[in-house]
Amino acid sequence: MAVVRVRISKQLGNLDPIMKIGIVDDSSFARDRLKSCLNRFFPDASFVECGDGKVALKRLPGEEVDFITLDIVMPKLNGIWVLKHLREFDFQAPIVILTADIQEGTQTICRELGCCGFVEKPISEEKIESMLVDLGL
Amino acid sequence: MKMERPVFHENLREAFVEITNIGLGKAAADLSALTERIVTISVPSLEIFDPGTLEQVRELEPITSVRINQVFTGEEISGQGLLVINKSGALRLAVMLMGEPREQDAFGPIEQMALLETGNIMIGSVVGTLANMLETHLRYDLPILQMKGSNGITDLVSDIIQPNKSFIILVRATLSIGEENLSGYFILLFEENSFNALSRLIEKQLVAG
Repeated sequence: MAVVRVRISKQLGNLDPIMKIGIVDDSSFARDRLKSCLNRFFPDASFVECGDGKVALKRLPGEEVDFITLDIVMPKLNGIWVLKHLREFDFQAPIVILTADIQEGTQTICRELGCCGFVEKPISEEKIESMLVDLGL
Repeated sequence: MKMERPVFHENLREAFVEITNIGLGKAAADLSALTERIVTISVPSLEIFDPGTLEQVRELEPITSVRINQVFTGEEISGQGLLVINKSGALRLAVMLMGEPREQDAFGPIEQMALLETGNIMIGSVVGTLANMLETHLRYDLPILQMKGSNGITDLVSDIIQPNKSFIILVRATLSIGEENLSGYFILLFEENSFNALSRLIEKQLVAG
């Protein structure tokens, strides 16, 4: 018999498939911190990790992720280009920008391109919880 | 031909230092959150000097350093942010960041990645605050980490500035972390073509109140 791992939705109290989260960040240190923080909310979450923008564009369109966190300053393709291309490919999953670039101009550009949230680094449990609430998770 | 070295009017100078100070406050808070220690940063000093005569600012402590620098470029302003920490301090900082003891004296890719990300966050805080307050927008290059056998600021910046430039605007502050006797510098460098834009954008904010 197949074992189906489930999570309990905070809002609905129903059973959903396991959370799958895309993390796009060139820093393994940043990815590890984020995974550790997300695991406090979703202990069984699985992650699709991408270390640069090109990898993200190659991998993510084929993945059914619940949401993506996307860094801006990355090698090969920066996060703004990744966001633009993913939306052009009709990629539907929510994309939250998670970056050290705190400029209002950057936030405006990203919102116009279809991101649904903006989290400033460094992350904290409070910031991630707020992000998850905003995502309705 | 080299341009004459300009001076900021006192009110612009004060405003520029204050804006940088606000950004440094955010950077200190970020570093404090990452290390779970109290971080203090001095009020920044602002100097304009000729890159050909860097000896003028050699009074920085000579240290063997880890330097993280990140270039930022905009239509009006461009420059670099630098986080400089002596090598032994950088190792201890890496240990704090990762929250677990590492092999002594190891300064491998994991430690370097932690410091790079920290430099990226701190530079982003200071430069982003500056950009927000001056209502301009900047693009960032990837941060770069290098070991610098340093004999003061000359060695720290000589490879990242062009000596043929007329002048460099340098903003620097010292930072210390907790009671670890761990200290370093945060430096912003702007090249000469940023001077007029910085003056104009700061003036605009002063007029706007």
